[in-house]
Amino acid sequence: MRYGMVIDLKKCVTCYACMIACKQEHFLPPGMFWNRLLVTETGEYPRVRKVTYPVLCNHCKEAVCVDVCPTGASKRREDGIVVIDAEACVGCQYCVVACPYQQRTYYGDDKKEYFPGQGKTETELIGLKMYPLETGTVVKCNFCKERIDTGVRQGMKPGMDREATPACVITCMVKARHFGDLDDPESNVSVLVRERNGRPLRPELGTEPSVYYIE
Amino acid sequence: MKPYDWMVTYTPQTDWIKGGGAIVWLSFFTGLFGSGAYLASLYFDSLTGMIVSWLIVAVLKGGLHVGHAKRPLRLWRMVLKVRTSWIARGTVFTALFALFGAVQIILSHEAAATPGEIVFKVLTAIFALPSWSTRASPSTMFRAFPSGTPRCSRPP
Repeated sequence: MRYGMVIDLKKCVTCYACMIACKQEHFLPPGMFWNRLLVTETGEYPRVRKVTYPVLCNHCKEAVCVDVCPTGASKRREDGIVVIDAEACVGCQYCVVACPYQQRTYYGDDKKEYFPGQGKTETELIGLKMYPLETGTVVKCNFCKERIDTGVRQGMKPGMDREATPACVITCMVKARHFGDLDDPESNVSVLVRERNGRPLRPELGTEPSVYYIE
Repeated sequence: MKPYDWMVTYTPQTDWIKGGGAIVWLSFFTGLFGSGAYLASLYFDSLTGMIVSWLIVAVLKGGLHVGHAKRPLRLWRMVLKVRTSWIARGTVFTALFALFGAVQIILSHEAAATPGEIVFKVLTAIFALPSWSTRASPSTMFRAFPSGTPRCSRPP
């Protein structure tokens, strides 16, 4: 079992819905993104093309962040999801430096407000209760593990059933994102990687990311 | 552009340190300086030098590292991950240096030239060697000078 994601760069329309869905799902504070869109341009005028790379934690099979974590707070679950145990994190930020994909964020300030000086909004206050992030620790994308765990407990299949699938995947209006088990050769993601030559980011590092891109 | 054409070079983060860079730099500097000074004191058989260098490593370096960690009460967990993490190994090495060094200084003061003192001198000297910080610390340090930033390498 190894959950992974396949992102179709041809389908992505750079609407940023995945980014917002992620922020909503985890009540992320201002300035923090677990899911980002990197927009760049290729070619030369007048033949210029905009290219968008949706990036998130790659949940690497050989995760460097897990290796370097001195307390064991960063760990890889049996289903391949790399998670951070906030109770064990000392906030040394070594993993932030080690991640070659820059997908980890240090959460040091819980006083930030979406409307500075106006106090926290009702949504922010709800978020502090429903999805409390611990200050002084490192945070990152967790493939919406709460959704997956709840869904699996209810007999649903992540990637197939909406309730058990990461928020960014179900939000994507053009279905550019696909989620499933990379270890299952018949899963939707394995078929896409195989048939459309899916490639991860920086495969030469040997980290074996679980996020693939197809064009 | 293909996905694998993108991010082909190292893209170091700069904001992770958020003003705490001086603490990290000072802790590594004091660690290397203190352990080097301890070895020199050992060579010249200077008890005062040993005490001062022990204080530099155990108090200054240790204190600065604790100051950098945002959740210092959880630092004990570092002994659990010595298998893969160089920070955990460094913590254990520093702690052992402090422990053996304290015993050795007491023995040098109270029972000089005894077999016990020699054993602890050797043990402390082993852990004073600054080679713990990465798998190739001296070479990493020299490599770091031109670029200004040591490269974070994957542990073996």
